[in-house]
Formats: sequence, C-alpha cells, structure tokens
Amino acid sequence: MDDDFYCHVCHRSDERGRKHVYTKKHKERVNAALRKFEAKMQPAKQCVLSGPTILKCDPPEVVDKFWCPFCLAEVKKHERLGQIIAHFKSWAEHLCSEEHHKRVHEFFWTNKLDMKKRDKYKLNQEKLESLEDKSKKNLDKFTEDSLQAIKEEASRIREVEKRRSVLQAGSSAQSKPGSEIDSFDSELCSLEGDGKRIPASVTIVGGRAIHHSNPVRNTVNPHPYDGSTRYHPGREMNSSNANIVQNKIRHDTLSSSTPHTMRHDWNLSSEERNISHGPPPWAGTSYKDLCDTPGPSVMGVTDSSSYRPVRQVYRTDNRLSPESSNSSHTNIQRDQRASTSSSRLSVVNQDKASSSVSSGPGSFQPEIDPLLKVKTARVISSGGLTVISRKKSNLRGNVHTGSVPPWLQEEGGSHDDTPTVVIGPTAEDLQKHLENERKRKLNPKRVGANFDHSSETPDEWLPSFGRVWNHGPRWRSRKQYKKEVDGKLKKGNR
Amino acid sequence: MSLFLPKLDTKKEVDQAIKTVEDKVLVLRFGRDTDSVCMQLDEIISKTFADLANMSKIYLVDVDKVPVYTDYFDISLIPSTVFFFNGQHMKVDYGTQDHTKFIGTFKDKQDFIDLVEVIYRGAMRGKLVVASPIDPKKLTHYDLVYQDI
Repeated sequence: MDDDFYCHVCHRSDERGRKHVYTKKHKERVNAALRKFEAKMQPAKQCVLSGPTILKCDPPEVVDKFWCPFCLAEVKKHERLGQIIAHFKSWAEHLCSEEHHKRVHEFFWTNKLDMKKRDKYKLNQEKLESLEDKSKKNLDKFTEDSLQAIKEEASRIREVEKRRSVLQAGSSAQSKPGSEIDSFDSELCSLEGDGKRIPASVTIVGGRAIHHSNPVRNTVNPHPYDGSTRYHPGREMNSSNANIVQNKIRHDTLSSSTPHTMRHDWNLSSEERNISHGPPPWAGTSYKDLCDTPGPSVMGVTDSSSYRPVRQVYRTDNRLSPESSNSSHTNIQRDQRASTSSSRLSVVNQDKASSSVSSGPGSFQPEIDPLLKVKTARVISSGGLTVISRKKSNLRGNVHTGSVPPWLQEEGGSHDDTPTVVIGPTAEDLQKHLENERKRKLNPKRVGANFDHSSETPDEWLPSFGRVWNHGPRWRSRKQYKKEVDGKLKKGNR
Repeated sequence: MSLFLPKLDTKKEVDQAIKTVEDKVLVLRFGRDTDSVCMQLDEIISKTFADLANMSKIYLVDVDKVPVYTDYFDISLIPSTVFFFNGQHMKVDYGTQDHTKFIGTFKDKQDFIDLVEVIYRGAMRGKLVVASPIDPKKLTHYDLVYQDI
C-alpha cells in the first residue's frame, strides 16, 4: 500500500508513504514550487485588475501553457479569438475556478502547510465575472482602434492616389515615346533630395519596382548602337546579377493613362518631383499588375520576394560569342528601328563601333571588334566615393575584353629591374631557420651553447684546451702555450 | 680503413673543424696512419663511424702535419684522441693521469661508442668534465713525467 505513494512535487515514489511529506527535501521542493507559482500569479492578477490586454498576434514564447502544481494539469495561458489574443485570460479564469480552489486546499492539507497562506495561490471567484466584463471592454476598444488605424491608412493612400492622377492627367499630353527615358532620368535626378542630384536607380526585380538611393555606378553600358538605354524584350542578360528592366513597363506607360494605386517603400512627396516632366515609367502600371503578371516580358529575373536594393546595371553583355553577338546585334537593329534615338543619359560607351553605327542606323560594320573598346567612359554619380581619373591607355585592352594580363605580358621595361628579385625566404634561409628551430630545443646550458661558430679567427687561433693542470682555468693553457712558443723562438733566435 | 675516414691535414682545417662542428662531439684522432695501434683504432672508428654519425664527427689528424696542435695538445703518445664540443675541449676522467685526451686504442667498439655517448650527454648538460664509462683495466697503462707542475 505504501508502495503506491507517489509525490508529484518531488516526482518520485517513496516507500515511507505519507511520511515523505515531512522530509527535508520534500519541504524544500514544495517551497520552491510555491515560489514559482507566485511568479505565475503576477500576470493573472494584473489581468484581473485591468482586464486582459488584447494582442494582435502571438506573443513570443516557447510554450503557451502553464503548469498548475495543485491541479497537476497544463492550463492554457491566453484566450484566442481568431487572430486576436486575450493575454493571460484563460490562466486567470483557471485560478478563479472552484476546481482550482479545491485542489489548493487539498495540496495545503496533504503537505502540511499553513492554511492561512492559501489565498496567495488563488483568485476570488467574484473576480471571474469582472474579468469577463473587462475583457469584453478591452476587446471592443481594440477593435475600434484597429478600425481607426485602417481608416487613416486608407485615407492616406487615397490622397496619394489623387495626387498621382492629377500629375498624370496633367502630363499625359506631353509624354512622347522617346522622352520616356528623359523623363525617367529627370525624375530620378530630382527625386534625390540631398542636393547632389544623384540619380537614384530603379530596379525592377521579380515584378516589384524598388526605388532607393544607391546611385548608378560606372558600369552602366547603354545600347551600343544608339547610345541610349533601351529595354529590350526577349534579350537575355548573360551576366550574373544583371537586373533587367522590363520592357512591359515602358509600354504600359505609353499606353495607359489612368492612374493606379501604387504601394511605395519610399516617400515620394510631390514637392520633390519635377512635375513638368513626364511621369516615371512605373506610374502607368499598378503595383498589382507588376506583382501578378510577371509575364513573358520579365526575362531572366529571379523572383525575389524581398526588397533587395540592387544597383541597376544597364549592361549590354559584350562578352557574347561572335555568333550570338551577331544575332543580338540584329535584334538590336530591329529594336532600334522601332525607336527614336535621342537620349540624355550621359553614360556613353566609348565604343567606336557604336558611334559609327549610330550615325547610320541599321548599318553594321563587322571589321571593328567592339570587344576591344569596352571601358568606363564617365561616372555619372559616384555615391560619395572618390572618382579616379584614368588616362587613355586602353591600347592593350582590359579585363572586359579578356586580354593578356600585365603580369603575363613580356615587357621591355622589366630588364631595367634587378635580375632576380627573390621574394620571400630562399632555400638557404629556410635551412637556417630549420636549424635554428632545432637548436632552440636543445639544452641552453650545454657546453659551448653560445659559441660563435661563424666568427672569423686569425691563423694563430688556438682552441680552448685544458692542459694537464691541476688547477687554473683553460685559457691559461693558451697563454702558457704562447709563452712557451715565444720562449722557444727566443731561444732559437739566441 | 683509414683510407675512407675523413682527414685533416692543416692547422686551418683543424681550426675549421673545431669551429664549425655544431652540437656534435668532435673526435680528433692524432696519430699516424701507418702505426699499428693507430690502425687498430682506425678500424674501430671506421666500424662505428655510421652509428655515431648523429652524435659526433670524427677526423683523423696526422701528428706530423700539424705540429702546432701536437705541441698545444701535448701529444707524446699516439694514438691520442681529443674531444671537442662546440669549440670547447671536453675532459674525460679515465682513471689515468691525463684527462685531456684519450691515449691508446679501445678494446672493442662498444667502449668507444659508450665513451662518445657519455661525452655527448655530459656536454649537452653543460659539463666540461665527464667520467669515462670504460673499465680502466681495458685502457693502456702509460706513465708520463710532466714538467713544470
């Protein structure tokens, strides 16, 4: 019978049976459990006082239940009404419940605790009703507030919309197909409000237009044949990280004149914009359109769902093989005929072939290899960085053209340098180093440890030899010897 | 035997050997190649040369060719073997009168190996005088009269 006794506080059975409750360890554990429980009482009390706070989404916690050691059960903490959560409401309800009160009483009885302290671990039953009322009130308030917020947001959006429509109506008469890019560019230029007139770049990745403040860097290469940037439908960009501007947008801006709502991540205030020019290219399209209809015009774009501030690279891939380049050139020709040429974008590829071709649209000169002439011509905006000016020494080509790197080139000037400048340690140095390493491990107190092996000695040098002495240091032997030698010589001389 | 052992012919070479041998016992046998006892010693040296290569460097010196050292080391009986370590002369107590050099030959190879090893160990520990492991009975008994002591 006594074997059946299991203490839920200590989580163990005890052969002593009920006497287990008198043991020291058990009492310690009971006190610890009560202390922990008091901590859990806190939020419940708060809840009962001022009603449960209403939250929009789940609070960040690992477990959503509390363990009640009296009832030996897990009780849910919060009450959920759809998405909305009443913080700690269920827990407070549990503490008010009669069942819980009974169990608290039992617990105190079995564990021989002070009965007067029971009240700390339960809540009054009357408070249950008041809890209900308060929770209702809080919920109402919450819903009201959220509605209000939504209304405000809606009104804001409507305002912005209105402004847009005004703009578009005002400028739709002025817009021309060719000046799309002009207006685009000027829009971009004016939108950056810090006085530098750095044109902001727009990238359209995965169907969302991102307007951000990273400026266009050097490597913007326009269309090689007419010096303007064109959005080419159906042309796949081979360079990695190429951001392709959709042609569809351009067409949309041409076609549509009704404004659509557009969600921005940036703040476009009407004052900042130069209203006299045309609307930005994305104005004619709706954000929704862009999202929902990626369509065939989006070529080679990775569908990213996050706003990635990627720099726009107007790059025509010049590394195409001759055959493909030819085909792309013909494509370009076709497009070129469709569009007029005037562009104000000042990034110009110093492509002599392009200039020659642009002069005569449709003519193609296969002799001049455009690959030889790829390089950065000018910097539109440096983004706060230092601009380096480079002189014209593009004779040998560069990385883009795939020419021989300078360190592999045979140059006449290198003969002036020292013949073999050895970089790093030589084999001898290595050997010496290894020797030194080995010697470091030897006993430093060994005989002749600090003997200088490499010093030059005169011809008359004699090693330290301890003669047959009974006393005296060894250098004496040398002196003695020298004396003897001199003595002999003198004797000999005599 | 002694044909294949390295020899030092001039004072300069001996100086060179003393100065350049690092962290190894330098064994200089002073004697003559034609002397019978020297030949015995050379035999032992040649047999143990390879075994002692890590611990020592052994050279044969002809006493007639380097009179400076013959005088300096006070060599009167051959073969005489002088030991150096890092340019320092090592004295060994053989139980005889002369601790500065080993006079005579060894009875067997092991004696020689033991002697070199003991010198090496002592030198590595910083001792300039070492006790010989060879039984004095195996050594040549000689008698010398010294002047000026």
